[in-house]
Amino acid sequence: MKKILILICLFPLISTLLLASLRCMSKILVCIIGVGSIVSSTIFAILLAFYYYLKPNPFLEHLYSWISIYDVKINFNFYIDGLSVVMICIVNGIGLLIHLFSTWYMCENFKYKKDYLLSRFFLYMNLFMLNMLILILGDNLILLLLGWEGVGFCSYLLISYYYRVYNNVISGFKAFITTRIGDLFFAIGIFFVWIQFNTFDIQQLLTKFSLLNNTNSFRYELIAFMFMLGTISKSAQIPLHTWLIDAMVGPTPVSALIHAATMITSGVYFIIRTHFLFELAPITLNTIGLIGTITLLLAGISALTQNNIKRILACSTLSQVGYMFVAIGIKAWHAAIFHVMIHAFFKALLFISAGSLIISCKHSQNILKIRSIFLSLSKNIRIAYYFCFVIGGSALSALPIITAGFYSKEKIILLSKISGYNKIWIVGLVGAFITSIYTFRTILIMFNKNINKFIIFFNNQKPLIYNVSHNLPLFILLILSTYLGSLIKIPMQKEITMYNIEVENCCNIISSIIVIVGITIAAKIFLFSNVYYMDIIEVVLGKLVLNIIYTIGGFDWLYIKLVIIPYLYLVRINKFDCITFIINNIINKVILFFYTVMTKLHNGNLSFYLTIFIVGIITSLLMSNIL
Amino acid sequence: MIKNAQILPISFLFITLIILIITISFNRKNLIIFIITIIGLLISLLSIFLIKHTLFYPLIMIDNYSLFYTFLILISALYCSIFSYTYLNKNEEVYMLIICSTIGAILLVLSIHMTTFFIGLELMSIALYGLIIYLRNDKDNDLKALESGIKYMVLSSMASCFLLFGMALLYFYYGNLTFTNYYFKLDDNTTLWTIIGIVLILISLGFKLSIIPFHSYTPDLYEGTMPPITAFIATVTKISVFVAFMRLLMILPNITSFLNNVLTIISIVTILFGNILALKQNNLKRILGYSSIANLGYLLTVIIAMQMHICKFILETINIYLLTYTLTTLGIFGIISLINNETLSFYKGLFWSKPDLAIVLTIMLLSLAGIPLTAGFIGKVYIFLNALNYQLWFILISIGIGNSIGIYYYFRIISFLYMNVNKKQLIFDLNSFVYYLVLSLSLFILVFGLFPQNIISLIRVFS
Repeated sequence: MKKILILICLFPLISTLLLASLRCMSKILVCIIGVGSIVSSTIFAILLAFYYYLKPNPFLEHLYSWISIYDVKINFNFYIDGLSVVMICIVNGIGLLIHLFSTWYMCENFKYKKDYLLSRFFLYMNLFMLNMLILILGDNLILLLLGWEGVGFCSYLLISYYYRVYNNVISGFKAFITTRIGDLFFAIGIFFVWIQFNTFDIQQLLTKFSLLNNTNSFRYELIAFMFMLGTISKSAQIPLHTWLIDAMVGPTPVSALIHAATMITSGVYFIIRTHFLFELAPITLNTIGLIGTITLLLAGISALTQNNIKRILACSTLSQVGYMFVAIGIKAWHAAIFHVMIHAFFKALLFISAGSLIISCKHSQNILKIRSIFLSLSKNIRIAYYFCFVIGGSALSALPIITAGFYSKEKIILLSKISGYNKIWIVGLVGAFITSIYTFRTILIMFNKNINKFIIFFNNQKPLIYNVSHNLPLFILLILSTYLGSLIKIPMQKEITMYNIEVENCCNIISSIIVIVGITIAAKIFLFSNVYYMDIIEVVLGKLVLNIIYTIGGFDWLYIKLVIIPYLYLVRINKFDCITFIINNIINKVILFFYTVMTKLHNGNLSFYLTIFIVGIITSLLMSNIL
Repeated sequence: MIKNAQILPISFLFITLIILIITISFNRKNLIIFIITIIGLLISLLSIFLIKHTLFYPLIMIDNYSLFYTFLILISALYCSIFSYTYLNKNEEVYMLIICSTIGAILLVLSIHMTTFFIGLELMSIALYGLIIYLRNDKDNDLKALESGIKYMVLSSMASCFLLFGMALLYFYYGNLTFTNYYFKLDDNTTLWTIIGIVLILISLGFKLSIIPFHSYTPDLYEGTMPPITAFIATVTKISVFVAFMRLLMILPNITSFLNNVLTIISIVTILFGNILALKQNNLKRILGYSSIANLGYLLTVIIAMQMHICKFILETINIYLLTYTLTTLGIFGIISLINNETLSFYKGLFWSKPDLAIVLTIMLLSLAGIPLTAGFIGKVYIFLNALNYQLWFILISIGIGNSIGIYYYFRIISFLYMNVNKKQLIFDLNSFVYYLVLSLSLFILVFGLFPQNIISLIRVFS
């Protein structure tokens, strides 16, 4: 068992080292190493899942004790239970499909963007997988922090992968710094845990919590709040979400893997892993729920005004992660993880097909421009794209019965109704309504034949070859996004809630109707006339409001005004502070004074040395007798 | 099981010494002498692992701790003789003197009686005089070596006088020369003369350890001797004398509680001024001399903690710090004897001509400065924890200040290494064997820093 666990992590590590040391290999070899490692890792992950399916007992696997100096012990343990098995399977499965897709995507992309190294891409991707696996499997908070920081770092590297464009590097910085702020609080939370419980192991923490009687809840509130700040920065929730939209400048497979399917949900994973801590902190849980609702509404509304396909998908990711946070806020852990899984399926599908579409449409990301180019493609390809987007989009907007998204998202909405959070229930319904509108707005604008006023033809262009590595991931994800995906059972304890079937049916019917109404409205508005849509919105709302909506609450502007400018001002003032003055003029001079005095004693004169020796003896004799 | 395996290491060294003397008088081939030396040292190193039981004679005591220090001494002697083989062409007597001095050092480590103690110390020192003044047919360096040797000899014989005087005073009071007897005959009204005797003994040992204010000869000595011999002085001498110092204080806990304040002041002064003095020096070996003063100051703080309460943690601290200090020092002196130049300006831009050597030197210096992921960091952590455990606040502060000053001058050397100067390619042919030895040392330092637990548990085997 231990070997399987090690092997899961070992393959990405080996391929990372290989790719890092042998930089200039042929592209085929790079692809084989980069994808092959994930294939082998996935095989062992499936073995692990199978083993767990046969013997569903959680267990702890001791790998290595990093350091133990008397009572400070840091053990590197892996913990296997239903949650980590599910997350491993999601990360490895989706990761494998996206790695496979990215061999096609990157090779096609290099025809357009030359002189970037392919091995660098797979190096970062494999490193990301390694860190993500450590984050999921690690039982120790320190080990978890290692994975946590590692995924953030890899995300930074991959966002600024096309480093020759200045803006991409700035976006990478933004993502890194914003998540670093959260990581700081996360680390503070870990220190609080150490002070309070004297351990870093999550399982030991759990046993200590079970012995606890609920007296001093403020401390747990504080710890949980620190962890919450860490998770909202990693999962891009409202005050710290600004980096995700800019992170879309990275390659599209990266957006699919890191910024939609896996890393963005690691915050959700962490909260559920330590849910016993959050259960003792009701205020923090309510805050999480509030943040989730605000995010899902604002991001959804913002997606209505976006025109860049990747930004639309990023906004939808924000709002779906908002749903997960809502589920956490109402303590529906199982529903949250289920939505994590289903969301990973359909969002990966949407991002992959968007990436493929972007390549096919001459690297244009604007949906209006895509529409113009799209009609120049051959008919079969157009139908395939349409099919992919409709399935993915309906899963995103939770079209009843046939899509997987329905079963996961409705569960959250239903549970919020049953647990008595009526406001959250209403917000969830509104969010579902908005989701269906913006999803079908995108699809209808891109694939609408009726308003084909400007068709751009590229005649002298070789047709693209869509090989297995392009088709297979799309096909598998298509299947998983339909009803068949929702059949996958999660080996976790479900929430025990008392509800009758009538309420459930009633709720499901209400939300289904809302989704269908949303799609119809989208069809009404966008199927025939959408040319003046943006103008109309601008006239109705005014430019300022539109801008605020477009930037999801205008937090960027706020941060520049409130944080960055004062910070830079303080830095400028602080350049000549008193501490530097003290160091330069006092401490420096004192040390140099002693230095000159003492070096004068080393004059190379033997008689002088002898004198010092004797004087030293006499003083120490005197001191030892007097003191 | 061999009978009396406990004294095998030292007896093998004696046999090697005799063989060396005979061989030198017939055959003056450098390589043969070198090989005999290495084989002798290796055999006595391996024979340590044969020892299973502790031994308690009236004159010497062999337990796990003293075996660990013997091991360290033998390792450093081995490294030093290999360095000197590549450094000098005709140096048959050097090996003989090194072996002789090593025997003295081991005897000092094992001693629990004043006679063995004194014999060991003098055997080590007298052979060392020969090593220091060893001529290299190079006028400037030879003059320096002579000067520093004479200074060291005069001062060292002074210290020996005081040592003998202190012993005589102790004998006057106790009528016995065994260490253990002092322990059993403790009483509160120890007279002035015993205290003076103990202080005199400790001072003469402090002189060998170059603790401020008895340090004045150190920089000259480091500058004057050849690099392999400097390595020998910085490791073998320091380890053995420090261990003897520790033994003495371990056995005399109550008497020496009078000394605690003096020791505290001395260690603070040693740490601070040892570091301050190294600030602006331009000779690498001189800097290392000052840094060794500071390092012994750090070790002295552990001894102060030991006065309050002896536990395994303190002994482990000393073991680990001595190990890291020895390996790092050996590595740096190995590089100096490879490059055969000690002025700092010569190292300017070393990275651009010899990147591997510069990186190895950087690792060593980082370890001395106590930067994480190197062995030196683990040693510093132990020293810090020790001072924290016993709440020696002044010492803690001075360790902090000393360390930060230390970072300045170690990083000054490192910045010299990476300076971009348009200089011609340095031409020196590296001896590959020594090069790999140094490389292995730096790897060990990194491994120790990365996986401290494995090596800490290895060291615990010895205790």
